[in-house]
Amino acid sequence: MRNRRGRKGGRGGRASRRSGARPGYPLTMASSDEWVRVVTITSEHAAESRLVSMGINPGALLHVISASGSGPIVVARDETRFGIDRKTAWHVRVVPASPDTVHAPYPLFCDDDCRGCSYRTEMMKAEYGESITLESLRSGETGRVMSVRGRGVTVNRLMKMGFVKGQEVRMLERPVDNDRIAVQVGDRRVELAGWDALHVILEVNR
Amino acid sequence: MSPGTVLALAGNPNSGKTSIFNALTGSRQHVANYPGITVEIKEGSAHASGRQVRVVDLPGTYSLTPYSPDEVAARDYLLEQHPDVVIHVVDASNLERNLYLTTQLMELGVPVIVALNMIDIAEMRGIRIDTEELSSILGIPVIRTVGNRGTGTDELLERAVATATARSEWVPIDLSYGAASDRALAILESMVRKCGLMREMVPPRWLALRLLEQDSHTIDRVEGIGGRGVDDILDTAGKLAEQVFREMDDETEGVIADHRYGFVAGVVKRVRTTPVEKRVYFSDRIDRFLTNPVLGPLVMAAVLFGLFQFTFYVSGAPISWVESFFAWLHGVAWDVLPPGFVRSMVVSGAIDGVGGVVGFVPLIMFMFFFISILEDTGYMARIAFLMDRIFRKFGLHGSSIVPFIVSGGITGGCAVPGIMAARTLRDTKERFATILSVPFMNCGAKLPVYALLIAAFFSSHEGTVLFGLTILSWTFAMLSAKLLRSTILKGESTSFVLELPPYRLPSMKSLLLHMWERTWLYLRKAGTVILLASVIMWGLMTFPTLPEEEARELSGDQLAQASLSYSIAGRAGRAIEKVTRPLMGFDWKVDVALIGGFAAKEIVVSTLGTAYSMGETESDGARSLSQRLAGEESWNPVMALALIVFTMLYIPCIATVAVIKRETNSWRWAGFAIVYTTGVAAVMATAVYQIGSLVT
Repeated sequence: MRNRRGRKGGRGGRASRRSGARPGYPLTMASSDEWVRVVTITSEHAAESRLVSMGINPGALLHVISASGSGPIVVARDETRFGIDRKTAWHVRVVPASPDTVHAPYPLFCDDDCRGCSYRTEMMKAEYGESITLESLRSGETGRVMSVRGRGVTVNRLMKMGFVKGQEVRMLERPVDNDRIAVQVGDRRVELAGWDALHVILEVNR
Repeated sequence: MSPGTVLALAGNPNSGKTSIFNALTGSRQHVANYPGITVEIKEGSAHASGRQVRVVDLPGTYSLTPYSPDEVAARDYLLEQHPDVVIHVVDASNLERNLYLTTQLMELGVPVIVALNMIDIAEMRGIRIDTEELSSILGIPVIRTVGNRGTGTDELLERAVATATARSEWVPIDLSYGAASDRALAILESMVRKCGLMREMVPPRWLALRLLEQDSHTIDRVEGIGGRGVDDILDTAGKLAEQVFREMDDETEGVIADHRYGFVAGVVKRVRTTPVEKRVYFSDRIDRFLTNPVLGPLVMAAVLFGLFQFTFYVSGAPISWVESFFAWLHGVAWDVLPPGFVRSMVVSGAIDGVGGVVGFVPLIMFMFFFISILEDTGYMARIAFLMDRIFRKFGLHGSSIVPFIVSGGITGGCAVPGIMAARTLRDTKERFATILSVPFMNCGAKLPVYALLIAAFFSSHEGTVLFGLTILSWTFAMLSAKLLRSTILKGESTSFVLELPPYRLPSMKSLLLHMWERTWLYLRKAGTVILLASVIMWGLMTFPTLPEEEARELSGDQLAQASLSYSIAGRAGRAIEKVTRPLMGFDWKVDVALIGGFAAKEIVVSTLGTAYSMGETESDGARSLSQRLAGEESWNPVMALALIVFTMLYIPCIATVAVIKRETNSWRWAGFAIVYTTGVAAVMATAVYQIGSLVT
């Protein structure tokens, strides 16, 4: 029997498969003339891949041109305008953003040695301002947990590890191997995957 | 370099590929300021350094993971035909999104050369792009071009040919997609390499990437190849994708796309500077007004209404000039030629048949001119946008709008390219519902029929009537779509994202060129197909001739009428008349004209021209066809309206039926289209005639 589990048509939307985090709010809730950044797209696979290839990708800065009434929503990305029907727009999750940060982040050309300089981390920055994620904490640095973003299995596990609001954490070693990091939570040493660490938002005094 | 060097033009929709194609090959493919016009692979040839090269224009595509049939065609061309060079036409104003495709092309390994197109517009917006830096980061040539002015295209051609000569084998680049995906990719790549899967076609890593993304087209293809090793690979791909998903909490495709955009964003940061001040976009301001759910439709209605009024207003005088010219020609031919079959054929068949159609050339010309304005400014895309809400209610996809508009959304278009434009639709049911409904739109061939009858019976409200007919055809098309979508083509609606091009000031040159191209097509058709059909129809209305003894007893008007009804067409028409006359008020001449209209709808006009010319007793060319019809007893406004409705709806012309067969790949759908449309036409025309007769 061939493994068809991964086939596109055969499964539900990405949203239903994805474990926790669904940050931001639907694009349908944005108002005219608002600037937003896409954080994730939760529509079914083909539609998502279409949106992404058209330039409505996670990380894209959009200017909402018109979002009134019950019709499609008009957004601008760079110099292109798109009309997106409401059903599709509902699956585009966005956070408020500033038009001044026209550029999306640049993981390949990062000058410092921060490993957390990934696309997603930058998006998180857009969402949470100057706060950073645990993933981008440098070795030896400490921070205070502001929130654990999202919900679901990963987040529950993180909470059990001790990542709760107000908790002080310290980066011990990064990377332990591949993309795992070691963190001191209270008096315990915890190891976790870098991608899981993205869920933890920290307040840092640098 | 072999003489058969092939340059393929790839790029996002609306990035100006076709204008580059036209500049390179000197051809005149249709360019419009909204996406989805090129859905077919088009070929031309160009000369570079004394050699001839083939240039191929591919349908616009956003990604090599195809979404709709037109994108599948573009990708399959790249994979199967292996062009020597891909010229990636990039819209300089939207560098980020366009480079997304560039990276995919580079991963495929095909030699790529970037045409940084519409650079003039980008620079006008204050965007500066460091071409050299871009070229050195990507490692491929980057040429600045302005397609519609032909700037930079010579250099582009030269560099493309040079690249083709320099690099014959494909050299794919490797991008990193993060630790998890890279690990999975390495495993899969080595498996693909070992097995030699699709070795001839694509680099192993590229195939591995597609499999890891679980791209259904690729999986289907690979499954088609079959074999034990293949099953193994697919199995592993599924497992690895699952693993990456668990690790990253995201589908592999999403992870890969994020990294790809990450790379692109990095490149863009290095090479592009945008103005610091937040500009107020002119287009945005207009759009806030024109796409407003309340104001938008009002403006749209006003624009269309004004367009029709104005078209009739300006074309009135030229139409009467053309008509007088044909009347003069009619008179001259009548006088010069000796009485007999030849004179009858030339005067009634050719001159009055074709004259009826050509008479409306000024109208067609102005209509096409105004449609070109709507297209080139970008307003057409807004019309499409505004129609989406309506389309949704009738079970159609927003992207169906382009097919509908191309087929004659504003009266004057053609269902053949319209049906082909439906290739941009992903869902088969939505696509078929579109294909079967667009023949109801008012194509350019129906326009002379309308114009003739409007001039004869509704001359005081020309623009208004045409506006009404436009609304009517939309109504029928929408109702038809709804009917199909709630019966034989039931299904969910898919998501809709439409690109709205920025407003542009159209250049007079391109407007005139568009107008001329379309008018020329119309004229050419009148001079060939319609002329031939007119002569054939004349033959059918002349032979067999009335027996001598019967002819001797009659004279004048009676003789003409008797010989007409004795002919093949007359007999056939009389047989059908028994049904059509009581139901729709059509006499046998109209029936014959409508049968002829199956070949092309203009023939309805040319046949009426011939029939009523032959019915005349003597040279009566001073009266135009519309004047003759207005004077006929059996004609009245209600019947004319029924005829208009019937013409609007009945059997698509032969060309359309053929294209329906090709696009649905089935004669059954084509046959269904014929029966279905004619059924609808008969019912609606009967309703119009019966109700109309009751009221008046």
